[in-house]
Amino acid sequence: MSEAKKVWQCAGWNLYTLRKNPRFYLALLMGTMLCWMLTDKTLAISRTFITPLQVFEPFIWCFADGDSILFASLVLMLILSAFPRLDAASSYLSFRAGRKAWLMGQVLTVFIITLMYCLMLLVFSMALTTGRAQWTNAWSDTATLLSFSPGGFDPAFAVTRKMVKLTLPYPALIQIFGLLFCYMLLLSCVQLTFTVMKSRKAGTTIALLIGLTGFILTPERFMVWLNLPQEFTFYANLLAAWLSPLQHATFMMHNFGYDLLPRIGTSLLILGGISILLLVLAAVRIRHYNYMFTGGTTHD
Amino acid sequence: MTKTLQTTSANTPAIEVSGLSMRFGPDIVMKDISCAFEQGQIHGIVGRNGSGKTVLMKCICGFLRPTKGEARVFGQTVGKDVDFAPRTGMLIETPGFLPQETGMNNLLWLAKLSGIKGKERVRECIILVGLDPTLKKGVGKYSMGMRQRLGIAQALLENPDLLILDEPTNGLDKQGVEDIRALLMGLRAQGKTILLASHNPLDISELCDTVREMDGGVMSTTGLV
Repeated sequence: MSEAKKVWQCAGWNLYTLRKNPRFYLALLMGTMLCWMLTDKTLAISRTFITPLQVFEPFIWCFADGDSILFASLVLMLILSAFPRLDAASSYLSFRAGRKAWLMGQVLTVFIITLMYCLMLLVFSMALTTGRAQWTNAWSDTATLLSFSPGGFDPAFAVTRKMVKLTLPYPALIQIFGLLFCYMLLLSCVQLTFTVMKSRKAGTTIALLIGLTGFILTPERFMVWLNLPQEFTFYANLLAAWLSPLQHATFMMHNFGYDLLPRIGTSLLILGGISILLLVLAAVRIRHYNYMFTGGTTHD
Repeated sequence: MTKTLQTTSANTPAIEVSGLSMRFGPDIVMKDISCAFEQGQIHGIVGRNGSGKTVLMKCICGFLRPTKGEARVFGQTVGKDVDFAPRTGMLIETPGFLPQETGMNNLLWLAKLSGIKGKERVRECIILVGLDPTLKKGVGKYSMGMRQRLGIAQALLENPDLLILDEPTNGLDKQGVEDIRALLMGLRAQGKTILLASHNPLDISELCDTVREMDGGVMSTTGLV
C-alpha cells in the first residue's frame, strides 16, 4: 500500500473513532453555543433596527475580534487534546503504517478537524441569519448602521469604518477565515509537536499557554509595561501586532496600506510557517520517539 | 508495513539482539542484552514483573528505540532499515481496541491498512482464535479472555513469520489456554517463529524450544531447554 494511502487510512481511523466520542460532541456543542453567543449582538442590532444582514457578517464581525478567536480556539483544543492518539489501539495502527505515515495521519487528522471546525463556525453563524440575509458582495444596512453610528453608540464588537470602507464582505470573509484557520492550526501543531517531543501534558499545556498569551500581549498591556503616553498607542499596537500570535490572527491588527502593522499575507505566512516548522520538528523527532502506549481498551 | 525483504536465509536468526540497553531517565531497565532467536522455534522469556521482558519486546518490535545496541529482525535493523519489525505480528501488554466497535470492525480497519482486501482473512483469524466473527457486541463488552483472543487474531492478520507475544494466555480460562497453546504449536509446525513472554510455567515448559530468563534488565544465557 502506498504511503499516501496509509496516511489517509490513519486519519480515517482517527476520525472514525470520534464518531462515538462524547468529548467530540461536547466540543461541537460548546462551539455552536459560543458562536451563537458571540454573534448574537450583531443579530440583536439587526432585529432592533429591522435591517438586513449580509450572510457572512455575523462571522466577520465576530471573528475579526481577537477574543472570539481565542475562545473558539480553546474549545477546539478540547477536541484536539486527544491527538496524537497514543493508546494501545493505535499501536496496532502505527505498527502497520510505519512511524512517518502514522504521524502524517495525525497531522492530516488535526488539519481536517481544524478546517471542519472553522467551517462549522461559519455555517452556524450563517444559519443564524436565516430570514434576514442577503448574499450580495456588499455590506448590509446593519453594517453601515454600526460602522457609521455616532460616538457613544458602542456595540462592543469589531465593526469599524475601516473595514467597511476598505473591503467587501467576500474578501473580508476569506481573509478572516484564513487567519482564524491558520491560528487554530498553529495551536494544533504546537499541541501535536510538543506531545511527540515531550509528553501529552506538555503539548496541551504549551498550546494553552500560547493561546493565553493572547490575553497578555495586548496593546493595553504594552502601554502599561512600557509606560507609554496615549499619543504613543501606535507603538504599543505595533508591538502587540508583531509579537502576539493572537494579534496576527486578528483582522483589525493589520496593515491596510498606511501603517507598519503586519500585512494579512505576512501574518498568514508567519502562522503557517511556524506550523510547518513545528511539523518538521515532529517528523524529525518521531524517528526516535518511544511509544509508551498506555495499554488497554481505549475510551477516548 | 514498511518495506521488507521477502527472502531470508533459513540460517539467519529471526531475531538478533546485540548490546541492547535501555534507560528511562535515571532508571536502567535493560542492560547490554545480546542474543539470537532461531527461526521456526518457540522462544520463551521468563522473569518477574519489571524484569525488562516487555521493554525487550518493544525494542525488538520498534516501539522503543534502545539507548544502546540494536535489534535485527530477519536481517533488518529495526529503527535503521525499517521502522518496525518486518513480517511480524505482535501482542504486547493488554490488547487495545475501540470499545464500541465489534471485533470484526476493529480488525477490518487494521486489515485495510495492511492492504488485505475483503473480510475473509479477518474472519479466518477470528475463527482461528475461537471467537465468533458474527458477534455483534462491542469489544468493550468482551471478557478479558475474549479481548486477549482478539489481540492474538490481530497479531495473525498478515500471516506473519514472526510472532511476538507478551503474556498471550493472560486472562484466558483453562480451555482458552489450551486452545492458544494448540494454536501456537500449529503455527510452529508451519515454520513460524514465536517469541513468548509468560508467567505461566506450563506455557514455557510445554511450548518453548528455548527459554531465557530476565532479571533486573539482564538476560541470563543459561536456561536453554
